[in-house]
Amino acid sequence: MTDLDTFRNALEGPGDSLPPALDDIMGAGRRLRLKRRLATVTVAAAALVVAAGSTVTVWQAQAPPAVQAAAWPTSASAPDGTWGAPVRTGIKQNGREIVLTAFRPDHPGVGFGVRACVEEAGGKLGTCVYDFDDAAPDRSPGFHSVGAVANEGGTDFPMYGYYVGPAASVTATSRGKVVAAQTAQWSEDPDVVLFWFPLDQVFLKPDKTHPNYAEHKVTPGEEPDMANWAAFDADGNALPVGTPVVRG
Amino acid sequence: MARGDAEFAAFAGVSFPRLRRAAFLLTGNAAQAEDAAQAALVKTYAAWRRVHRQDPYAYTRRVMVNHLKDQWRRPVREEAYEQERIPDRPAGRDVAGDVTQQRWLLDALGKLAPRERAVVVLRHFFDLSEQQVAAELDIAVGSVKSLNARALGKLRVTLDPSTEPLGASR
Repeated sequence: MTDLDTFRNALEGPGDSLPPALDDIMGAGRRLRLKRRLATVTVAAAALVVAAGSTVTVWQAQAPPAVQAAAWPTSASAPDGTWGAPVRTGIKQNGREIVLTAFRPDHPGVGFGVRACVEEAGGKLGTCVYDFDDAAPDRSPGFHSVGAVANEGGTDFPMYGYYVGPAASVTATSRGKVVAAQTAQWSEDPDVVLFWFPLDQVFLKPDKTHPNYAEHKVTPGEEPDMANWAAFDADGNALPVGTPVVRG
Repeated sequence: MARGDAEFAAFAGVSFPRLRRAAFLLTGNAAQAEDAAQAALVKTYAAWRRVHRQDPYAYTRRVMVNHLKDQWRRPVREEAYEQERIPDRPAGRDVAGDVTQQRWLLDALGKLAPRERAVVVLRHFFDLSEQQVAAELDIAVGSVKSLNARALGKLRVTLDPSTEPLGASR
């Protein structure tokens, strides 16, 4: 017979210094990411066609129409990075509200991003999660990169993002159920709409092994089940979908 | 290299040997183990912006175990998922090692059923709790206990200390 410690040592085995094939891994990862984005857009576009009929203009994932994008406002950001007025979400964590603010990402070619932050006492912003669109043009009509539900520093942050266009309502389906986002026009440009989904509206696949799960918090790597993104103007007309890719 | 890429590269460099070792213990096949570990890192890289500030190692481990679990139910010739295959590389060394202990270990693990083998690796290599193993494999905690006990029995591993080295009886 063999004792358990000896067995565990045997499992550890001899050391091996062969590194991962990083270039291959990262290249394949980029292609996988792109494939997922295209798949998301294709599904969303197909749903829009079914929902609204053939008269709706659907934006193509691979060949978006050439539209002269408007410039981002030139108003100054606050010292803490907040650009324009923060938007209250009504979602509270540990007695503190989550707010959305626009910010200027420090990323080449990207002029706009949205972050979700904990509002501390006195209005000062605490922990934030950031998201911006580094794939599609960040000012193109429609959805852009969407920040996934996440737990950061013990705080659960909702799914949030922005829409370029006159969206009065934003919807998606989460495991087949239609869910409506809360929306707010951005103070610096009424053609930019910030949106977020209440935490209990988005279906997730939690990691039941993670300590967060026992505390009813979001666990790492949770995949949101979101599809059929749609936006409508005040008259109920369907608007372009854009590229609603959920990521952290 | 962008900051996120540099962070991922550092993470992959540190975690890859252990992930590959775990995959090797689960499959007994060095090439398959390397594929599984790299495939998991590909998925992690694709989701890096979402997972890097949380627990990327747990995420990658789950991806890899799910990848290998999926293969239990498929013919070996099929790819476990659609992701493109990363080219094979010449191995730096035989990860099994050529020592008697490692040969014994592989032979012994090879006699286990896939779920027994997975429980043993998750429980004793990754040092997960029985509850964590149950959640990872989507089975009951009681099943983890019984699979673990049965596997250790087959492996002739006892909880009692022993001075007899692994493989000495073979």
